[in-house]
Amino acid sequence: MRAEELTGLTVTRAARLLRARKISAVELTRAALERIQALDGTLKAFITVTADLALAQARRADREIAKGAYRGPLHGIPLSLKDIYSTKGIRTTAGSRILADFVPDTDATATARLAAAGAVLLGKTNLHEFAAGVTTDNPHFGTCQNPWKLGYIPGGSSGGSAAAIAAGLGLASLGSDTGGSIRIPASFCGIVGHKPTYGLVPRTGILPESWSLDHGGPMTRTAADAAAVLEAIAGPDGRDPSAVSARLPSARRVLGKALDGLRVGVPVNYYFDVVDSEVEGLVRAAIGQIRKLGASVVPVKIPGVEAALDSCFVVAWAEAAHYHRQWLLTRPQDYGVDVGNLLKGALLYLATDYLQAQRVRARIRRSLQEVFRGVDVIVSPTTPLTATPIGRLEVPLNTRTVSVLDVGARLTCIANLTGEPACSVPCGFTRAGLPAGLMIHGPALADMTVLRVSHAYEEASGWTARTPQLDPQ
Amino acid sequence: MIDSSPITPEIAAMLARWSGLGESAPAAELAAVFEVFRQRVERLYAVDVERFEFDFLQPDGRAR
Repeated sequence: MRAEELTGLTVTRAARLLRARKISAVELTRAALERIQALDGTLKAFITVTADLALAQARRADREIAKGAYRGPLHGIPLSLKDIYSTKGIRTTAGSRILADFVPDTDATATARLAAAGAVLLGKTNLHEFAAGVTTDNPHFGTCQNPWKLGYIPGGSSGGSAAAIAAGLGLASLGSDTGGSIRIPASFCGIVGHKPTYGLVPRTGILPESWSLDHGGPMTRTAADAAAVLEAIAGPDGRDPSAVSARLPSARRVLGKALDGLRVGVPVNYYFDVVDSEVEGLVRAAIGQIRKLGASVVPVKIPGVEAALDSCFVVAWAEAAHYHRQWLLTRPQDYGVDVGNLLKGALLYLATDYLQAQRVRARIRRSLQEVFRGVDVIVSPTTPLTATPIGRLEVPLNTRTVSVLDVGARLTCIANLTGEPACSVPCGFTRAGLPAGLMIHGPALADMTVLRVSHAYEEASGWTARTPQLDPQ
Repeated sequence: MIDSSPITPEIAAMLARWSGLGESAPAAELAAVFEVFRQRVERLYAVDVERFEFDFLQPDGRAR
């Protein structure tokens, strides 16, 4: 198999080939490392590449598989971690100057679980500084580029992970999502990003942005791959106090099921009020395709959701400012301008402001719970627009000018407030060649239902098979 | 009654000192950030939350 065929594999396909020993983990890993070497000077998707570790892990995987000690679908799979997941003995920067030399002495729970599943760690990916933004225009480790169109942002904050998957620099990655940081870059880079139910993946060892909004989760080429990674990292660890102990149904049993009888809600308020017309057209077409797959599509109204972004940002920035307070007072010059100013501003929030935001959040959460009595999932655009040019904080959208941060998180933040699962799956391309994302959002712990809809749609639409054309330097 | 006059750089400098930040950022930059944050909070206080308590996330129900 040629190198570009290897780097274009999905996790599930590569797993079958590895298990059957038709390919080796070493050749798969070498192909990924060579592609990183060739492309990452331009893309800036990685902060740290762990080539020696990766090859050692790959050799071990090959030995184990040869002996029949197959560990499961991630065994021998080369993947990456957003550089916010603690890695024992490997620096974990959070994309910041503050933590540029931080080397953890323990692994994050998710890091350890991937290692136990036999995965191969290619490296740590670039992100918006401290995961506090949507551009991944990182002042300390370089501006990450969108593989579909250089000069455009990959989204964020998990932009390096998304760019890496889209460009074939590894088969999967873990991102984190506080207001949309898995799904926004997934949408902008044409990959699948799943934010699990809050507490399903332990946050232990993921450097915090906002305790009550942070989620860790998979970023992959397909929904089936996302399910495989989720199954490897989900479940309580006895250390994250917010972890939930529910067991998900097996992806193998759920993902292939038809959508007959499934009720899909399409919001009639807020979600389509501010949206690029091309993106709306692609999303409406995707909804039509889901209906053809057997689902019934029903309009739903979600009262109070208009306050979601304000609630999310007050909660997120207040919690983040609390975490950062000592550094803000003693090392303010070590922050990039945008993140530093946001965190400094958040030091002024009053306790009463935070509580008001949390009560607004409770109201929105109740609204969604009511909606999910009548439908199994709701679908919408992931982001109201596609990737924007690097360096632009505001962009035109229809007849208005919008903040890239605000519009980027406008729809994704809702599932962070409610803690419910939501997945972004590619739903087509604009005339400019940029991908758009369809978001599928379900009730708490319905992660496999969300991934089932994502899987059925992507199988029918075929968008995930498209890859960006990149010329190695 | 809420004071709706904009936050000036002088007020921003005072607020920055109050929050412990000292002179760590240009007052004009901070004034713009503080103003956006103040407007966000004002919008939140306009939402009726009478029937809703602060219920920290506790996902419930059965996995589907």
